[in-house]
Amino acid sequence: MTLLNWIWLAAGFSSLAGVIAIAWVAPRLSRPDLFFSITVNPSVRESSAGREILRHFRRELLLFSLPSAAMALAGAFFKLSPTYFFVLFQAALFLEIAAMALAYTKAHRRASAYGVAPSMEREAAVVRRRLRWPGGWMAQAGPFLILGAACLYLWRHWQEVPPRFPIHCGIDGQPNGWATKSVGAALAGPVTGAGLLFLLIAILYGITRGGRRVFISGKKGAGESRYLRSILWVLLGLEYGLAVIFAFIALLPLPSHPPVWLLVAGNLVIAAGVILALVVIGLKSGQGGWRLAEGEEAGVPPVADRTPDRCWKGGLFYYNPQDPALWVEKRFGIGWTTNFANPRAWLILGGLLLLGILPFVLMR
Amino acid sequence: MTNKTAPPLLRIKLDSSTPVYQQIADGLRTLLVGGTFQPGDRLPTVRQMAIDLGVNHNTVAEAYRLLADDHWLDLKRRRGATVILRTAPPAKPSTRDDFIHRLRALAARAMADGLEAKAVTKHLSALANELQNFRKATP
Repeated sequence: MTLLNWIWLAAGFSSLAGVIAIAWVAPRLSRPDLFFSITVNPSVRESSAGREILRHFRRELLLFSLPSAAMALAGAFFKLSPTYFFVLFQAALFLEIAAMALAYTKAHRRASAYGVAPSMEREAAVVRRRLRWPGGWMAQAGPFLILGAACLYLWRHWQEVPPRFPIHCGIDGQPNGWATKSVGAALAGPVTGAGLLFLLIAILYGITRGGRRVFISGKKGAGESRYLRSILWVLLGLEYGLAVIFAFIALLPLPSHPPVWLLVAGNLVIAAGVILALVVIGLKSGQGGWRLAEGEEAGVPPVADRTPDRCWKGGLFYYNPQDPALWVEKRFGIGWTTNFANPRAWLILGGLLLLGILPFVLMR
Repeated sequence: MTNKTAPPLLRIKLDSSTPVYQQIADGLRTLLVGGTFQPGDRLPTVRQMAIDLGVNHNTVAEAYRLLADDHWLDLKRRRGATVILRTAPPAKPSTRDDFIHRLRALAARAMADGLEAKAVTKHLSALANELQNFRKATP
Protein backbone atom coordinates (compact mmCIF):
# COMPACT_ATOMS: atom_id res chain seq x y z
CA MET A 1 0.00 0.00 0.00
CA THR A 2 1.38 3.39 -1.00
CA LEU A 3 0.86 6.61 0.97
CA LEU A 4 -1.76 7.67 -1.56
CA ASN A 5 -3.63 4.37 -1.07
CA TRP A 6 -3.70 4.95 2.67
CA ILE A 7 -4.96 8.52 2.12
CA TRP A 8 -7.77 7.25 -0.10
CA LEU A 9 -8.65 4.48 2.37
CA ALA A 10 -8.80 6.95 5.27
CA ALA A 11 -10.81 9.44 3.20
CA GLY A 12 -13.24 6.75 2.05
CA PHE A 13 -13.96 5.35 5.49
CA SER A 14 -14.14 8.75 7.17
CA SER A 15 -16.59 10.10 4.55
CA LEU A 16 -18.78 7.04 5.06
CA ALA A 17 -18.61 7.38 8.84
CA GLY A 18 -19.14 11.14 8.45
CA VAL A 19 -22.43 10.68 6.58
CA ILE A 20 -23.70 8.34 9.31
CA ALA A 21 -22.53 10.68 12.09
CA ILE A 22 -24.14 13.73 10.47
CA ALA A 23 -27.44 11.86 10.00
CA TRP A 24 -27.20 10.66 13.63
CA VAL A 25 -27.01 14.18 15.10
CA ALA A 26 -29.03 16.09 12.47
CA PRO A 27 -32.44 15.67 14.18
CA ARG A 28 -30.98 17.28 17.31
CA LEU A 29 -29.58 20.25 15.38
CA SER A 30 -32.88 21.38 13.86
CA ARG A 31 -34.88 24.06 15.64
CA PRO A 32 -36.69 22.61 18.70
CA ASP A 33 -40.09 23.14 17.12
CA LEU A 34 -39.13 21.25 13.97
CA PHE A 35 -38.94 17.49 14.23
CA PHE A 36 -37.96 15.60 11.08
CA SER A 37 -39.05 18.71 9.13
CA ILE A 38 -42.50 18.80 10.69
CA THR A 39 -43.65 21.78 12.79
CA VAL A 40 -44.35 20.43 16.29
CA ASN A 41 -44.67 21.75 19.81
CA PRO A 42 -41.14 21.87 21.29
CA SER A 43 -42.18 19.37 23.98
CA VAL A 44 -42.69 16.64 21.34
CA ARG A 45 -38.99 16.10 20.81
CA GLU A 46 -38.38 15.19 24.46
CA SER A 47 -41.64 13.27 24.89
CA SER A 48 -41.60 9.46 24.97
CA ALA A 49 -43.18 9.39 21.48
CA GLY A 50 -40.51 11.79 20.17
CA ARG A 51 -37.69 9.76 21.69
CA GLU A 52 -39.16 6.59 20.21
CA ILE A 53 -39.25 8.15 16.72
CA LEU A 54 -35.62 9.23 17.11
CA ARG A 55 -34.55 5.78 18.39
CA HIS A 56 -36.35 4.16 15.46
CA PHE A 57 -34.63 6.49 13.01
CA ARG A 58 -31.18 5.76 14.42
CA ARG A 59 -31.77 2.01 14.50
CA GLU A 60 -32.91 2.05 10.87
CA LEU A 61 -30.02 4.31 9.90
CA LEU A 62 -27.53 1.76 11.23
CA LEU A 63 -29.44 -1.16 9.77
CA PHE A 64 -29.72 0.39 6.29
CA SER A 65 -26.03 1.37 6.47
CA LEU A 66 -24.89 -2.24 6.74
CA PRO A 67 -24.73 -2.92 2.95
CA SER A 68 -22.61 0.17 2.25
CA ALA A 69 -20.27 -0.59 5.18
CA ALA A 70 -19.94 -4.19 3.92
CA MET A 71 -19.06 -2.91 0.44
CA ALA A 72 -16.36 -0.60 1.79
CA LEU A 73 -14.88 -3.28 4.04
CA ALA A 74 -14.83 -5.78 1.19
CA GLY A 75 -12.88 -3.27 -0.90
CA ALA A 76 -10.28 -2.92 1.84
CA PHE A 77 -10.19 -6.66 2.64
CA PHE A 78 -9.63 -7.78 -0.96
CA LYS A 79 -6.99 -5.06 -1.44
CA LEU A 80 -8.51 -3.81 -4.66
CA SER A 81 -6.49 -1.57 -6.92
CA PRO A 82 -6.92 2.16 -6.08
CA THR A 83 -9.17 2.72 -9.11
CA TYR A 84 -11.59 -0.12 -8.25
CA PHE A 85 -11.42 0.82 -4.59
CA PHE A 86 -12.38 4.41 -5.45
CA VAL A 87 -15.32 3.30 -7.61
CA LEU A 88 -16.49 0.90 -4.89
CA PHE A 89 -16.33 3.65 -2.29
CA GLN A 90 -18.32 6.02 -4.49
CA ALA A 91 -21.00 3.34 -4.82
CA ALA A 92 -20.91 2.71 -1.04
CA LEU A 93 -21.27 6.43 -0.36
CA PHE A 94 -24.21 6.66 -2.75
CA LEU A 95 -25.83 3.66 -1.05
CA GLU A 96 -25.24 5.26 2.36
CA ILE A 97 -26.96 8.50 1.31
CA ALA A 98 -29.89 6.42 0.01
CA ALA A 99 -29.99 4.57 3.38
CA MET A 100 -30.06 7.87 5.21
CA ALA A 101 -32.85 9.18 2.96
CA LEU A 102 -34.90 6.03 3.55
CA ALA A 103 -34.54 6.19 7.36
CA TYR A 104 -35.34 9.94 7.26
CA THR A 105 -38.46 9.46 5.10
CA LYS A 106 -39.85 6.88 7.52
CA ALA A 107 -39.19 9.13 10.54
CA HIS A 108 -40.66 12.14 8.69
CA ARG A 109 -43.86 10.15 8.13
CA ARG A 110 -44.02 9.10 11.79
CA ALA A 111 -43.41 12.67 13.03
CA SER A 112 -46.18 14.08 10.80
CA ALA A 113 -48.72 12.63 13.27
CA TYR A 114 -47.56 15.30 15.77
CA GLY A 115 -47.64 18.25 13.34
CA VAL A 116 -49.26 21.51 14.44
CA ALA A 117 -50.02 24.79 12.66
CA PRO A 118 -47.08 27.21 13.06
CA SER A 119 -47.36 30.81 14.19
CA MET A 120 -48.43 33.18 11.42
CA GLU A 121 -46.65 36.10 13.04
CA ARG A 122 -43.81 37.66 11.06
CA GLU A 123 -41.26 40.23 12.14
CA ALA A 124 -38.89 42.45 10.23
CA ALA A 125 -36.28 44.99 11.23
CA VAL A 126 -37.17 48.36 9.72
CA VAL A 127 -33.61 49.20 8.77
CA ARG A 128 -31.75 48.97 5.51
CA ARG A 129 -29.71 45.81 5.54
CA ARG A 130 -26.05 46.58 5.04
CA LEU A 131 -23.95 43.95 3.39
CA ARG A 132 -21.23 42.88 5.82
CA TRP A 133 -18.74 40.68 4.02
CA PRO A 134 -16.70 38.60 6.45
CA GLY A 135 -13.31 40.27 6.65
CA GLY A 136 -14.46 43.07 4.34
CA TRP A 137 -13.78 43.49 0.63
CA MET A 138 -10.04 43.03 1.14
CA ALA A 139 -10.49 39.52 2.55
CA GLN A 140 -12.89 38.65 -0.28
CA ALA A 141 -10.37 39.82 -2.87
CA GLY A 142 -7.63 37.57 -1.42
CA PRO A 143 -8.64 34.31 -3.17
CA PHE A 144 -8.75 36.07 -6.55
CA LEU A 145 -5.29 37.53 -5.92
CA ILE A 146 -3.96 34.01 -5.19
CA LEU A 147 -5.42 32.75 -8.48
CA GLY A 148 -4.11 35.81 -10.31
CA ALA A 149 -0.61 35.30 -8.86
CA ALA A 150 -0.59 31.67 -10.06
CA CYS A 151 -1.66 32.74 -13.56
CA LEU A 152 1.01 35.45 -13.59
CA TYR A 153 3.67 32.91 -12.56
CA LEU A 154 2.53 30.57 -15.35
CA TRP A 155 2.63 33.39 -17.89
CA ARG A 156 6.18 34.34 -16.83
CA HIS A 157 7.28 30.69 -17.27
CA TRP A 158 5.23 29.99 -20.41
CA GLN A 159 8.36 28.94 -22.32
CA GLU A 160 8.87 26.02 -19.94
CA VAL A 161 5.40 24.54 -20.63
CA PRO A 162 5.87 21.42 -22.81
CA PRO A 163 3.80 20.88 -26.01
CA ARG A 164 1.67 18.37 -24.07
CA PHE A 165 1.00 18.66 -20.35
CA PRO A 166 -1.05 16.71 -17.79
CA ILE A 167 -4.49 18.00 -16.96
CA HIS A 168 -5.87 15.10 -14.97
CA CYS A 169 -4.43 12.55 -12.57
CA GLY A 170 -5.78 9.17 -11.55
CA ILE A 171 -6.33 8.38 -7.91
CA ASP A 172 -2.92 6.68 -7.96
CA GLY A 173 -1.41 10.13 -8.51
CA GLN A 174 -0.28 9.34 -12.07
CA PRO A 175 -1.33 11.64 -14.92
CA ASN A 176 -4.00 10.05 -17.14
CA GLY A 177 -5.26 13.03 -19.12
CA TRP A 178 -3.23 15.31 -21.41
CA ALA A 179 -3.79 18.58 -23.27
CA THR A 180 -1.95 20.29 -26.10
CA LYS A 181 -0.26 23.54 -25.14
CA SER A 182 -2.74 26.40 -25.53
CA VAL A 183 -3.90 29.37 -23.46
CA GLY A 184 -7.41 27.85 -23.18
CA ALA A 185 -6.11 24.56 -21.79
CA ALA A 186 -3.77 26.32 -19.37
CA LEU A 187 -6.51 28.62 -18.13
CA ALA A 188 -9.19 25.91 -17.75
CA GLY A 189 -8.30 25.32 -14.08
CA PRO A 190 -7.99 28.92 -12.86
CA VAL A 191 -11.06 30.07 -14.84
CA THR A 192 -13.13 27.26 -13.32
CA GLY A 193 -11.73 28.20 -9.90
CA ALA A 194 -12.64 31.86 -10.41
CA GLY A 195 -16.15 30.81 -11.52
CA LEU A 196 -16.52 28.69 -8.38
CA LEU A 197 -15.38 31.63 -6.24
CA PHE A 198 -17.88 33.95 -7.91
CA LEU A 199 -20.62 31.39 -7.29
CA LEU A 200 -19.64 31.11 -3.62
CA ILE A 201 -19.70 34.89 -3.28
CA ALA A 202 -23.11 34.95 -5.00
CA ILE A 203 -24.34 32.41 -2.43
CA LEU A 204 -22.85 34.46 0.39
CA TYR A 205 -24.53 37.58 -1.02
CA GLY A 206 -27.79 35.69 -1.45
CA ILE A 207 -27.81 34.40 2.13
CA THR A 208 -27.14 37.83 3.61
CA ARG A 209 -29.46 39.76 1.26
CA GLY A 210 -31.99 37.29 -0.10
CA GLY A 211 -32.44 35.10 2.98
CA ARG A 212 -35.01 35.61 5.69
CA ARG A 213 -34.12 35.89 9.36
CA VAL A 214 -36.42 33.84 11.59
CA PHE A 215 -35.77 35.98 14.67
CA ILE A 216 -34.63 39.58 14.67
CA SER A 217 -34.96 40.63 18.28
CA GLY A 218 -34.00 39.31 21.70
CA LYS A 219 -31.63 36.50 22.60
CA LYS A 220 -32.86 34.37 19.70
CA GLY A 221 -32.13 37.16 17.23
CA ALA A 222 -28.64 37.66 18.69
CA GLY A 223 -27.97 33.90 18.53
CA GLU A 224 -29.07 33.83 14.90
CA SER A 225 -26.71 36.70 14.05
CA ARG A 226 -23.75 34.92 15.67
CA TYR A 227 -24.57 31.69 13.85
CA LEU A 228 -24.82 33.51 10.50
CA ARG A 229 -21.48 35.24 11.04
CA SER A 230 -19.76 31.92 11.90
CA ILE A 231 -21.07 30.25 8.74
CA LEU A 232 -19.97 33.19 6.59
CA TRP A 233 -16.43 32.92 8.01
CA VAL A 234 -16.36 29.22 7.13
CA LEU A 235 -17.43 30.09 3.58
CA LEU A 236 -14.61 32.62 3.41
CA GLY A 237 -12.18 29.92 4.57
CA LEU A 238 -13.54 27.65 1.84
CA GLU A 239 -12.92 30.39 -0.73
CA TYR A 240 -9.25 30.57 0.31
CA GLY A 241 -8.94 26.77 0.28
CA LEU A 242 -10.40 26.58 -3.23
CA ALA A 243 -8.13 29.40 -4.40
CA VAL A 244 -5.04 27.47 -3.22
CA ILE A 245 -6.26 24.25 -4.90
CA PHE A 246 -6.97 25.98 -8.23
CA ALA A 247 -3.71 27.94 -8.06
CA PHE A 248 -1.98 24.54 -7.73
CA ILE A 249 -3.97 23.26 -10.75
CA ALA A 250 -2.94 26.38 -12.68
CA LEU A 251 0.73 25.38 -12.17
CA LEU A 252 0.25 21.78 -13.38
CA PRO A 253 1.35 22.59 -16.97
CA LEU A 254 4.83 23.45 -15.64
CA PRO A 255 7.27 20.51 -15.47
CA SER A 256 8.42 21.71 -12.04
CA HIS A 257 4.93 21.69 -10.49
CA PRO A 258 4.59 20.55 -6.86
CA PRO A 259 3.86 16.82 -6.30
CA VAL A 260 0.33 15.61 -7.10
CA TRP A 261 -0.10 13.85 -3.76
CA LEU A 262 0.07 17.29 -2.17
CA LEU A 263 -2.92 18.34 -4.28
CA VAL A 264 -4.88 15.23 -3.25
CA ALA A 265 -3.99 15.67 0.43
CA GLY A 266 -4.75 19.41 0.23
CA ASN A 267 -8.19 18.69 -1.22
CA LEU A 268 -8.96 16.24 1.55
CA VAL A 269 -7.65 18.53 4.30
CA ILE A 270 -9.78 21.44 3.03
CA ALA A 271 -12.90 19.26 2.70
CA ALA A 272 -12.34 17.78 6.18
CA GLY A 273 -11.65 21.24 7.66
CA VAL A 274 -14.83 22.78 6.25
CA ILE A 275 -16.96 19.81 7.34
CA LEU A 276 -15.40 19.83 10.81
CA ALA A 277 -15.98 23.58 11.19
CA LEU A 278 -19.63 23.18 10.14
CA VAL A 279 -20.11 20.27 12.55
CA VAL A 280 -18.63 22.29 15.44
CA ILE A 281 -20.84 25.29 14.59
CA GLY A 282 -23.85 22.99 14.25
CA LEU A 283 -23.25 21.29 17.61
CA LYS A 284 -22.58 24.56 19.38
CA SER A 285 -25.24 26.75 17.78
CA GLY A 286 -27.85 24.42 16.32
CA GLN A 287 -29.76 25.43 13.20
CA GLY A 288 -30.25 29.21 13.15
CA GLY A 289 -28.32 29.57 16.44
CA TRP A 290 -31.21 28.32 18.59
CA ARG A 291 -28.82 26.59 21.02
CA LEU A 292 -27.22 29.96 21.79
CA ALA A 293 -30.60 31.17 23.06
CA GLU A 294 -31.54 28.07 25.04
CA GLY A 295 -33.78 28.82 27.98
CA GLU A 296 -35.68 31.45 26.01
CA GLU A 297 -39.42 30.97 26.05
CA ALA A 298 -40.72 28.86 23.19
CA GLY A 299 -43.37 30.50 21.05
CA VAL A 300 -47.00 29.39 21.27
CA PRO A 301 -47.97 28.36 18.66
CA PRO A 302 -44.48 27.26 17.55
CA VAL A 303 -42.63 29.71 15.33
CA ALA A 304 -40.51 27.01 13.59
CA ASP A 305 -38.80 28.67 10.59
CA ARG A 306 -41.69 30.87 9.41
CA THR A 307 -42.38 28.79 6.32
CA PRO A 308 -45.55 26.75 5.78
CA ASP A 309 -45.21 22.96 6.12
CA ARG A 310 -47.25 22.38 2.97
CA CYS A 311 -44.54 24.04 0.84
CA TRP A 312 -41.88 21.52 1.89
CA LYS A 313 -41.69 18.50 -0.40
CA GLY A 314 -40.67 15.57 1.76
CA GLY A 315 -39.41 18.12 4.29
CA LEU A 316 -36.28 18.68 2.17
CA PHE A 317 -37.26 20.75 -0.88
CA TYR A 318 -38.92 24.13 -0.45
CA TYR A 319 -41.26 25.33 -3.20
CA ASN A 320 -43.33 28.41 -2.40
CA PRO A 321 -44.21 30.78 -5.25
CA GLN A 322 -45.73 33.22 -2.71
CA ASP A 323 -42.45 33.62 -0.82
CA PRO A 324 -40.00 36.14 -2.32
CA ALA A 325 -37.09 34.72 -0.27
CA LEU A 326 -34.47 32.88 -2.32
CA TRP A 327 -32.74 31.21 0.64
CA VAL A 328 -34.53 29.64 3.58
CA GLU A 329 -33.25 27.59 6.50
CA LYS A 330 -33.04 23.86 5.96
CA ARG A 331 -35.44 21.97 8.19
CA PHE A 332 -33.18 18.95 8.75
CA GLY A 333 -29.64 19.62 9.92
CA ILE A 334 -28.01 23.03 9.48
CA GLY A 335 -27.57 25.48 6.60
CA TRP A 336 -29.84 26.87 3.93
CA THR A 337 -31.66 25.65 0.88
CA THR A 338 -33.14 27.51 -2.05
CA ASN A 339 -36.79 28.23 -2.70
CA PHE A 340 -37.20 26.22 -5.90
CA ALA A 341 -40.18 28.37 -6.91
CA ASN A 342 -37.75 31.26 -7.32
CA PRO A 343 -36.22 31.34 -10.84
CA ARG A 344 -32.87 32.45 -9.37
CA ALA A 345 -32.59 29.08 -7.60
CA TRP A 346 -32.45 27.45 -11.02
CA LEU A 347 -29.85 29.99 -12.13
CA ILE A 348 -27.63 28.85 -9.24
CA LEU A 349 -28.13 25.20 -10.19
CA GLY A 350 -27.40 26.10 -13.83
CA GLY A 351 -24.24 27.91 -12.72
CA LEU A 352 -23.05 24.80 -10.87
CA LEU A 353 -23.74 22.66 -13.93
CA LEU A 354 -21.93 25.15 -16.15
CA LEU A 355 -18.88 25.08 -13.87
CA GLY A 356 -18.88 21.30 -14.14
CA ILE A 357 -18.59 21.38 -17.93
CA LEU A 358 -16.53 24.58 -18.30
CA PRO A 359 -13.09 22.89 -18.02
CA PHE A 360 -13.99 20.42 -20.79
CA VAL A 361 -15.11 23.25 -23.07
CA LEU A 362 -11.95 25.26 -22.41
CA MET A 363 -9.64 22.28 -22.98
CA ARG A 364 -11.15 21.30 -26.34
CA MET B 1 -32.92 57.12 13.06
CA THR B 2 -32.85 57.93 16.73
CA ASN B 3 -32.22 54.50 18.26
CA LYS B 4 -29.02 52.94 16.94
CA THR B 5 -28.75 49.94 19.26
CA ALA B 6 -31.93 47.90 18.73
CA PRO B 7 -33.46 48.06 15.26
CA PRO B 8 -37.11 49.13 15.16
CA LEU B 9 -39.34 46.13 14.57
CA LEU B 10 -42.42 45.62 12.50
CA ARG B 11 -44.70 42.71 13.37
CA ILE B 12 -47.62 41.44 11.33
CA LYS B 13 -49.98 38.48 11.54
CA LEU B 14 -50.70 36.74 8.28
CA ASP B 15 -53.90 35.20 9.66
CA SER B 16 -55.33 38.51 10.94
CA SER B 17 -58.60 39.84 9.51
CA THR B 18 -56.79 43.14 8.80
CA PRO B 19 -55.19 43.05 5.33
CA VAL B 20 -51.42 42.61 5.43
CA TYR B 21 -50.68 45.85 3.54
CA GLN B 22 -52.79 47.70 6.11
CA GLN B 23 -50.89 46.07 8.99
CA ILE B 24 -47.57 47.08 7.43
CA ALA B 25 -48.76 50.64 6.87
CA ASP B 26 -50.16 50.84 10.44
CA GLY B 27 -46.93 49.47 11.94
CA LEU B 28 -44.76 51.88 9.98
CA ARG B 29 -47.04 54.81 10.76
CA THR B 30 -46.69 54.04 14.48
CA LEU B 31 -42.91 54.16 14.13
CA LEU B 32 -43.06 57.36 12.08
CA VAL B 33 -45.40 59.15 14.49
CA GLY B 34 -43.29 57.89 17.42
CA GLY B 35 -40.26 59.67 16.00
CA THR B 36 -38.24 56.53 15.30
CA PHE B 37 -37.34 57.99 11.92
CA GLN B 38 -36.23 61.46 10.98
CA PRO B 39 -36.81 63.20 7.66
CA GLY B 40 -34.22 61.88 5.21
CA ASP B 41 -34.03 58.39 6.75
CA ARG B 42 -34.49 55.62 4.23
CA LEU B 43 -36.76 52.66 4.85
CA PRO B 44 -35.84 49.13 3.74
CA THR B 45 -36.43 48.42 0.08
CA VAL B 46 -39.72 46.84 -0.94
CA ARG B 47 -37.83 43.67 -1.85
CA GLN B 48 -36.05 43.39 1.50
CA MET B 49 -39.20 44.05 3.51
CA ALA B 50 -41.13 41.50 1.42
CA ILE B 51 -38.44 38.85 1.98
CA ASP B 52 -38.27 39.50 5.73
CA LEU B 53 -42.03 39.36 6.16
CA GLY B 54 -42.53 36.53 3.66
CA VAL B 55 -45.16 38.44 1.69
CA ASN B 56 -45.54 39.50 -1.92
CA HIS B 57 -43.60 42.57 -3.13
CA ASN B 58 -46.86 44.21 -4.23
CA THR B 59 -48.23 44.00 -0.67
CA VAL B 60 -45.29 45.99 0.71
CA ALA B 61 -45.38 48.39 -2.26
CA GLU B 62 -49.07 49.04 -1.54
CA ALA B 63 -48.30 49.84 2.12
CA TYR B 64 -45.52 52.25 1.07
CA ARG B 65 -47.89 53.88 -1.43
CA LEU B 66 -50.47 54.41 1.33
CA LEU B 67 -47.87 56.18 3.46
CA ALA B 68 -46.66 58.20 0.48
CA ASP B 69 -50.23 59.32 -0.21
CA ASP B 70 -50.38 60.36 3.44
CA HIS B 71 -47.20 62.47 2.88
CA TRP B 72 -44.98 60.37 5.14
CA LEU B 73 -42.75 58.95 2.45
CA ASP B 74 -41.20 60.00 -0.79
CA LEU B 75 -41.00 57.11 -3.22
CA LYS B 76 -38.33 57.27 -5.87
CA ARG B 77 -37.48 54.49 -8.25
CA ARG B 78 -33.79 54.23 -7.46
CA ARG B 79 -33.63 55.65 -3.93
CA GLY B 80 -36.51 53.66 -2.46
CA ALA B 81 -38.68 55.05 0.34
CA THR B 82 -37.40 58.15 2.13
CA VAL B 83 -39.05 59.71 5.18
CA ILE B 84 -40.08 63.30 4.48
CA LEU B 85 -40.94 66.27 6.62
CA ARG B 86 -44.65 66.12 7.25
CA THR B 87 -46.82 68.72 8.88
CA ALA B 88 -49.97 67.32 10.44
CA PRO B 89 -53.07 68.89 8.89
CA PRO B 90 -55.44 70.72 11.26
CA ALA B 91 -57.79 68.16 12.81
CA LYS B 92 -61.37 68.22 11.52
CA PRO B 93 -64.13 68.34 14.16
CA SER B 94 -65.10 64.79 13.21
CA THR B 95 -61.55 63.46 13.77
CA ARG B 96 -61.75 63.63 17.57
CA ASP B 97 -65.28 62.16 17.69
CA ASP B 98 -64.27 59.38 15.34
CA PHE B 99 -61.16 58.63 17.45
CA ILE B 100 -63.15 58.45 20.71
CA HIS B 101 -65.79 56.28 19.08
CA ARG B 102 -63.19 53.82 17.77
CA LEU B 103 -61.25 53.78 21.02
CA ARG B 104 -64.40 52.95 23.00
CA ALA B 105 -65.31 50.23 20.54
CA LEU B 106 -61.80 48.77 20.78
CA ALA B 107 -61.83 48.76 24.60
CA ALA B 108 -65.29 47.18 24.62
CA ARG B 109 -64.12 44.52 22.17
CA ALA B 110 -61.09 43.71 24.35
CA MET B 111 -63.29 43.40 27.45
CA ALA B 112 -65.81 41.30 25.58
CA ASP B 113 -62.91 39.00 24.64
CA GLY B 114 -62.02 38.56 28.32
CA LEU B 115 -59.51 41.32 29.09
CA GLU B 116 -60.20 42.83 32.52
CA ALA B 117 -61.08 46.51 32.84
CA LYS B 118 -57.96 46.97 34.99
CA ALA B 119 -55.76 45.61 32.22
CA VAL B 120 -57.40 47.81 29.60
CA THR B 121 -56.86 50.85 31.80
CA LYS B 122 -53.23 49.87 32.38
CA HIS B 123 -52.55 49.57 28.64
CA LEU B 124 -54.32 52.83 27.84
CA SER B 125 -52.30 54.55 30.54
CA ALA B 126 -49.05 53.08 29.17
CA LEU B 127 -50.03 54.29 25.71
CA ALA B 128 -50.77 57.74 27.09
CA ASN B 129 -47.27 57.86 28.61
CA GLU B 130 -45.77 56.72 25.32
CA LEU B 131 -47.63 59.45 23.47
CA GLN B 132 -45.91 62.08 25.61
CA ASN B 133 -42.71 61.26 23.79
CA PHE B 134 -44.24 61.35 20.33
CA ARG B 135 -43.28 64.32 18.28
CA LYS B 136 -45.86 67.05 18.54
CA ALA B 137 -46.03 68.43 15.04
CA THR B 138 -45.37 65.06 13.36
CA PRO B 139 -42.71 66.59 12.54
